[in-house]
Amino acid sequence: MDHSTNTPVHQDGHDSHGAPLDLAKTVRSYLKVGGVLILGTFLTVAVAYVPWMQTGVHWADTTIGLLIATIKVSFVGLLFMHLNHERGLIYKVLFFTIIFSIAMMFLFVLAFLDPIKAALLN
Amino acid sequence: MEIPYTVTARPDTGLYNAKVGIWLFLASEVMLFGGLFSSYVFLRIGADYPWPFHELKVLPGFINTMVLIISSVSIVSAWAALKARRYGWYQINMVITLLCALGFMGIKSFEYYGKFTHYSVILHDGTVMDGHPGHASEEHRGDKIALGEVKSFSVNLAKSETAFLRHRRINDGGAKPFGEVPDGQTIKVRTPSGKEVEFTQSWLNKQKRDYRDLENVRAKLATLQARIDAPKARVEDMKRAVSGNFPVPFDAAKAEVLLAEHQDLQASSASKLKELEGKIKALTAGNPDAAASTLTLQVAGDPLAFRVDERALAKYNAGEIIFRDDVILKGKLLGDSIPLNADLIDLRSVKDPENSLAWKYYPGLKPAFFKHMEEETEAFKKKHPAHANDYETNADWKRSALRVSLEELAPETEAHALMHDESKAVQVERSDKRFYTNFSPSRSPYYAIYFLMTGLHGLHVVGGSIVLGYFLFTGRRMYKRNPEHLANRVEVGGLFWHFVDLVWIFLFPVFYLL
Amino acid sequence: MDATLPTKHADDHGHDHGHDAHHDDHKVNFINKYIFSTDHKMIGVQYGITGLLFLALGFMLMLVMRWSIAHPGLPLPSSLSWIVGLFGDDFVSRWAPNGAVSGSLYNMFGAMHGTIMVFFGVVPLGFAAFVNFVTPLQVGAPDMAFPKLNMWSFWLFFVSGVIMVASFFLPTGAAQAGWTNYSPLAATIQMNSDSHFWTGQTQWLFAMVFNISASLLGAVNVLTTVINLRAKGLTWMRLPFFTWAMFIIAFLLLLAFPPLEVAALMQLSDQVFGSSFFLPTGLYTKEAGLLNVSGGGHPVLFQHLFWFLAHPEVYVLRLPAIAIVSEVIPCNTRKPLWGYKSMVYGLLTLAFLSFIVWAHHMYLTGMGSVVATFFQFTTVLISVPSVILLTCLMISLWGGSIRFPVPMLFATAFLPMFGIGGLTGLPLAFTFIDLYLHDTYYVIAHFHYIVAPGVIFGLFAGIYHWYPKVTGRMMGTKLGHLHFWPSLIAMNVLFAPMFIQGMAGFHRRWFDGGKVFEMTSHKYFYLNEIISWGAWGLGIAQLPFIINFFYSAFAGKKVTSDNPWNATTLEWNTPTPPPHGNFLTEQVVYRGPYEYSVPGADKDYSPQWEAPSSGEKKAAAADAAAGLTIH
Repeated sequence: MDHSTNTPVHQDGHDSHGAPLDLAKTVRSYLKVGGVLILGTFLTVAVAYVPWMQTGVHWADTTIGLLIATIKVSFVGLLFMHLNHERGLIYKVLFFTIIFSIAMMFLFVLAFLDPIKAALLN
Repeated sequence: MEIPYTVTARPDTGLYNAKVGIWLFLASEVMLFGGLFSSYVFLRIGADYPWPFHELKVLPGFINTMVLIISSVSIVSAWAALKARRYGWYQINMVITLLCALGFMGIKSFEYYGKFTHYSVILHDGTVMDGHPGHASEEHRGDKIALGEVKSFSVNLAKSETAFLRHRRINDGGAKPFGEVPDGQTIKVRTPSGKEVEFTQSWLNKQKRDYRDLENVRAKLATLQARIDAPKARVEDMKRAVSGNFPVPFDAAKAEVLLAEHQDLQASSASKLKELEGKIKALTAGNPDAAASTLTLQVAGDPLAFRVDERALAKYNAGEIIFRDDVILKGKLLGDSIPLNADLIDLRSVKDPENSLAWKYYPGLKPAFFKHMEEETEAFKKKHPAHANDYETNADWKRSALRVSLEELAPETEAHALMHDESKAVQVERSDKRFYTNFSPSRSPYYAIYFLMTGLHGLHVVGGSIVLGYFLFTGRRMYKRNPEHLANRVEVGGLFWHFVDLVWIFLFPVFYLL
Repeated sequence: MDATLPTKHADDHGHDHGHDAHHDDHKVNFINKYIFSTDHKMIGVQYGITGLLFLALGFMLMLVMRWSIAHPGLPLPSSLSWIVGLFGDDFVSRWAPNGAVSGSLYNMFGAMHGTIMVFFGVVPLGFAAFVNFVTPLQVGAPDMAFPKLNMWSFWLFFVSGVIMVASFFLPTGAAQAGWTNYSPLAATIQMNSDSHFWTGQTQWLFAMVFNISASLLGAVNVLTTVINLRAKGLTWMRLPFFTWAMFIIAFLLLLAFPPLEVAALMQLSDQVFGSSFFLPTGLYTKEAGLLNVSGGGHPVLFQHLFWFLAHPEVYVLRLPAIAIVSEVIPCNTRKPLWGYKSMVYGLLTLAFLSFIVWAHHMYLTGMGSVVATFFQFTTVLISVPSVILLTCLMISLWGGSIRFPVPMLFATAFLPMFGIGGLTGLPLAFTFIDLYLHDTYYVIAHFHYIVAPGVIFGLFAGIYHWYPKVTGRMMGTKLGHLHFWPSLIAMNVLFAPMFIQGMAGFHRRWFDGGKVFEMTSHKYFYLNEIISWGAWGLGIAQLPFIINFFYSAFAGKKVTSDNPWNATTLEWNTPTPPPHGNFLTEQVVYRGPYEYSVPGADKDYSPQWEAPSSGEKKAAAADAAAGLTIH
């Protein structure tokens, strides 16, 4: 019942593509990603200490901080978790998961920001 | 029987089982942390107190971020090493990952410890004073209420337990006024009926059982009586309804029937009533101490002393303390003030800072506080001319002008003494206090969600390290048998580990920076 | 660096084995076979029996509550007082000293009735038991993808059940804040107990954390099995609808349960660590005065998190019944399921929408018109796929030569009962009606029509349908009829009058049936008693089932073939009962799941594992020639 009984092992790994892995090269690329992440962390901290009040854009530190975090997360997801070449099924699952969690946050906030108006109660 | 696709991928989905499983599990984890982050946002936009901003020390969080990034690189390299069939490299990378996990948890515990030993007292007018409750002496946690000369106490036979004895201390009036009770020392009490007994859980249980038996008979009697009286009560209801909010005409015929029914019931139940009353009498005579729910006991030997955490209590006053399970100790209140070496005064929630309760305890710091406030205001106006008139409602101004560390209010040596010298601790009166807590989840919803999210994240780190450690220490056998299987396992463990890292990448800015 | 060096050992499965060739797993002892079993079928049976026991417990709690409603203040008769007595003398004297149901006891039983029925009765039986037993068989797999996880999942669930039941015996009693466990009531109701850890409320949360973890493991397992272990040729659109529905339910569990886990952990922190996630500033109770907490939290946050799970949970409750019925109906009408594809797409839509309708349970939390309109819109929208499912099942009956074995009786009764439940839910979707009907007996009637005569009938159909596969013996038909007809009548006597009471404004949490409002609501008091008669009747009607269930396992009529109903899906192609490892040969699927009465076939059912015969091919070719093929 195992359809791939006789296939050599290395053909199944999505990233070996039949060729043996070049360890040094692969690890070098991972180290580069690690460098980018560390850089991002420095940047996030630096941004948080910019006196944004003076520039008149209060929301900037939150927005930029979360933006950098999102970029870092994409690096981890795409390169460390190999989402840059994953199977369709996993994309589908993650797509709906992310839709639902965003909907959850969005609707929580919406429900909070839209109470019954006091004018109607009086 | 063998499950297919545990090692090789299924051709049409291109995935082996464990990989499908871990991604589904991670999807559920996304929802878990999605729920937590949604709650964070909800709690933050709905906060009716100043949301803590830059209150956590950034450095430990920053180091931890680095540590996790390094571990992410090493775990993915460990997997690559296995794919390249280099077991030595695999081991080295796994060890690095596990060391990082250990370092992460170490730094985390250090952070937690600092918070758990740091206290905050919130006074009735909104004044907040943070500090240490003189933790040099182990007896002293600051939130205790001391009661001495306890010559009698009462228990509620319906619900009391002997748990209150945990809080008993020996009060010898010496340098350490509240010493531990030696093991095995019990209490002798005199009951209302004059018996002298040892107060133990088993004795109390016996009283409670007797009381319950008696109550059961009483309840039966009451039910029977109520049944007999029900028709009569119905007639009363009918009479009342004539003049009530919803007037109903009085039905005289029905009333007559009901009253007759009442008479019949009374007649037919007379013997049963008598039997129950007799039973009650017999039980009461058997153990008169268990006749009523409240049993008051006199201490037979030396008076007792207690030192109790306020949270264990329902309430207390100068002469007694009442536990949540209705044990009432009668004695003399020896002290209930909260000693505090404050290191920070926060008046953001105070209507009138001039008359804040803080100045009752630190009158000497008041001029410096307002001088500091004026300086901050000047600086703020200069920086933000647009907010020159409405600065008083500005959260940034409030944070810099109204939340001041003692280091800024007093010269260095004096501030150091106020913050660390136990003899300089102020005694905060309990009547001034609204809430007293350490920086644990109870401090505020901000700290609650901080501890919940970082705690859950920490549990993930621990769980992940256990699994990865298992792969490291038992992997060789599987590697020899089928290296691809081990590579798959490490890939799956690594995916989980990356996810943990990914959560931290959001947690760090959200809690430490924004 | 030779990647191919270690080769996988030859796997020669599925070639011409006899029965005994399958005993390659080592000899198993009693404990490994019946208790710590990793066999999906045994785990399914374990779930099923535990679920049935919990259903019985939840039902008995309800009987006590119904007595209090119908005869407030009167002592329980001996036919009911033994139920309270099950918990021991201490429990009785603490909560029902004079033999009558106290308000606290009613609250406790009410909260536990809901919790046990939803999380420990219907989901374990409807989802876990059936999915474990049937789904791996239907997809032609030898077992679940992760058999050990499967065992863990059951035992986590079992532990959670033990904690939940044990909480009755605590000095505080079990949880009393309703099955929804809303804070701040949940956080304060047992605040006076000496320990904040050993309270019913805290243990409820603990049990839920275990239960949720068990569900997550189970869901991952089911999904992986369906995704990766399908037999050769079993494409997605050849999956039996049962498996489709289970697949979708597993997704709902996977993605909707975590927010409840968050809520449970937060409330746990509130109870044990004294935090204020759900406690607002300045909270005051009669017993404790101003609460000694920081405040600053939000009660509504709990409701959001709770209902984010609990609405999809509604579909977790009812889809297993639809899944079972859509197996039973084609099998007994001897014709294909009508609109298989639209049912599948309806199911997908339903699952998607179910994540964004939750706040229709919260219209009364003071939400403004924008949010309320959004949720009203999605709620009305979700009724469309529901109606598609039900309509397809109804039309499936059309023109069939129906036979009526016991499972089919339950399946046919399911349709109108479920329809009543569903249609009476529509008015509740609209804010202005819901504001009036919220928390009345109307709501109780509505969702009980869904879960009691609806879902439970579906589950009974499933039990009767797959019983011969599990045990190798049929369940008795006469006892089955004796179970079905009284149940059908009692269910309706029980739930129909509740609509009337609800519209008259009867509140769902009146422990005395509304006696304190006698002056205004006495007109509908007589219904209290009628409903309770329905409840007693329903209880008695289950006795034939219990007898049948146990008796038939030992003395029922033995099945003569592996496929006693002449059904078409793969689970009927195993030996009976199926051995560990399930199939004797590798399964290959040639056709869709419901090919009954195929033109040209030599019998009126064409199982998935049989290749099209020459007669069928000829008939299909003739159709094609006449231009009749639909594709």
